[in-house]
Amino acid sequence: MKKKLIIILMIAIMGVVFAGCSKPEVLGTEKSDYSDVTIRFAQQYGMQYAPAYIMQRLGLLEKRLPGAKLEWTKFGGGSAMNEALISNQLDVAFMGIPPVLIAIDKGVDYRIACGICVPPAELIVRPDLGISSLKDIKPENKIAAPSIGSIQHIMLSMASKKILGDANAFDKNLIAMANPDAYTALRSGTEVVAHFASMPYIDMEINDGMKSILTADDAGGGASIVCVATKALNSNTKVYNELMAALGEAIELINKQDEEAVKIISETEKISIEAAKKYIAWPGTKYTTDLYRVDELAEFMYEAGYIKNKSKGFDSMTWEGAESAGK
Amino acid sequence: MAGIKAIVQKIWSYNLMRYPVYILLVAGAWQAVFLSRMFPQILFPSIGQIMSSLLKESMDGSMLLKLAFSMRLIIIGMLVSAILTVVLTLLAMYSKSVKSLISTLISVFDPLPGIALLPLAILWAGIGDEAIIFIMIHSIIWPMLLNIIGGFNTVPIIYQDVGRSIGLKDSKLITGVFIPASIPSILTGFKTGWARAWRALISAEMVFGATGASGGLGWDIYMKRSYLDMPGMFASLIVIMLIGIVVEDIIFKKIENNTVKKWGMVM
Repeated sequence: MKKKLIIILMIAIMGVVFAGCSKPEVLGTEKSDYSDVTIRFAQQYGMQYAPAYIMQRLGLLEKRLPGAKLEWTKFGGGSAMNEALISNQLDVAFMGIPPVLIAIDKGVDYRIACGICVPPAELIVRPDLGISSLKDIKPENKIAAPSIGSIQHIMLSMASKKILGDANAFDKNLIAMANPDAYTALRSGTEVVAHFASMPYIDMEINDGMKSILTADDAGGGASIVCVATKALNSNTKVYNELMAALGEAIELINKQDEEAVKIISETEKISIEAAKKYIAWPGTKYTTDLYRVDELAEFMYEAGYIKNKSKGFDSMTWEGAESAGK
Repeated sequence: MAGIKAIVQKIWSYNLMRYPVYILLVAGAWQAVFLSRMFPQILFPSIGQIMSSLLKESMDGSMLLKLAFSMRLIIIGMLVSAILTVVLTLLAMYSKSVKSLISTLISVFDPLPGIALLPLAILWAGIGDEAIIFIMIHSIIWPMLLNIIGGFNTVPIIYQDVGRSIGLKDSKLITGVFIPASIPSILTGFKTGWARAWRALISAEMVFGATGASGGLGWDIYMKRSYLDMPGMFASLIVIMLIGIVVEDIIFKKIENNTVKKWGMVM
């Protein structure tokens, strides 16, 4: 009996061990046929990822790298992306800055390639409680944000430091909820009185009569959603440069409200063409490859204890060629 | 020599004595995998890192707080589910149509994961402890009912006839015949309920986030994962496993020994 058990245990362990083995991908060298190149992408949900999915839908990178195999997956948040990047399951991922800094802090060797968007972020509150600033939020009230260590969480923290002088003042009020759940909770009179929302939830909630009491500007300004690339991808200069160019092209199309790009946004987000145009031009929104607030976030997250090591500067977090938008 | 062998066999026959051996085997295999660098060490920490994280959190009391938070919810969930199960079982005993309604409900709801009911839970119970308890009760009650009603159904007619012929009626018949005769199923119902309660709690907490000032083990796992604190995450998983071992091998074993084993219902 005991022998059997030990054997079963061993088999189970071997199973786990081998299931996790993954074949490292081969990135090809410079040439005109890229059929030996596979790039594995991951993006998340929401309009701030529009440059990624417009590049995907219009085949902007395929055009530049004929024959290359591009694989796309969607993730719910930065922590799963981090795990996938660390276990060499992804080459490129689009996410907020804080999870990137958490990973770099732990010694992961991927870096930020460029920005893709500075999304609006607003704290939306229920109108019936007379809340007009962070100061009015009581200990029993809950503030919903998409996840812990997300840009919304860090922005709330930055705003609370600015307004109340304490970065951790709302840590106990914070509740991690996906945008749709937070929307339900906010509308159904629960303890959730505030939602650090992104698009299109900001607009939907305001249309439902909720109030915006704080924007990214109150936290010192909007921060980029970034494109991160692994070391292996970055070392293939040609492929890397074409990726940057393709993202740049997608961003240009969004900024000039190209008909096809707007249509893709409206289909993906299930919103009208008018709404898509309105959100592209929403105050605080910028579609740009420039990076906003990488340094400030690194500094803040270090001071507030979210990461352990002081940042060694912009160049230690980004690949060569990444541009900071300055302050 | 034979004496030593007998003693070893005797010790080996106790689950609690066997566990350390199994644990050492697993820990050894784990450490070997870690050392082989087969996986990125950020995601696959060493036994030493996990243990020091577990030790640190046990010493400063934070693990105990999180455990207490989760246990409180589990106990409430189990109690409410048990009461509901008793009431529904009694109703099913008295009325055939209630029984068929309940079995329909079981087949409809049992396969639904609690998390799938999240939007409803938020709508009806808000986002506090109540929502987590709501999801937990949903996860516990169907397998519990299934086992207990199933147990009652399979009580041999001859036991029931004996009960009736010695003058037992209604509630006396239930407490005197049905319950003792279906103790094995009732225990299985509770064991399944207990396991489901943990699963529901951890997943609900991972979705809801903290509901109180501290939050329980599910929230803790979620936080540690967000911050790539894998040793801490595995430490919390170990705590959940330890609780499982303690409850299964001490509490449920004891109940079994004092009931079904004592009465000779199972070997």
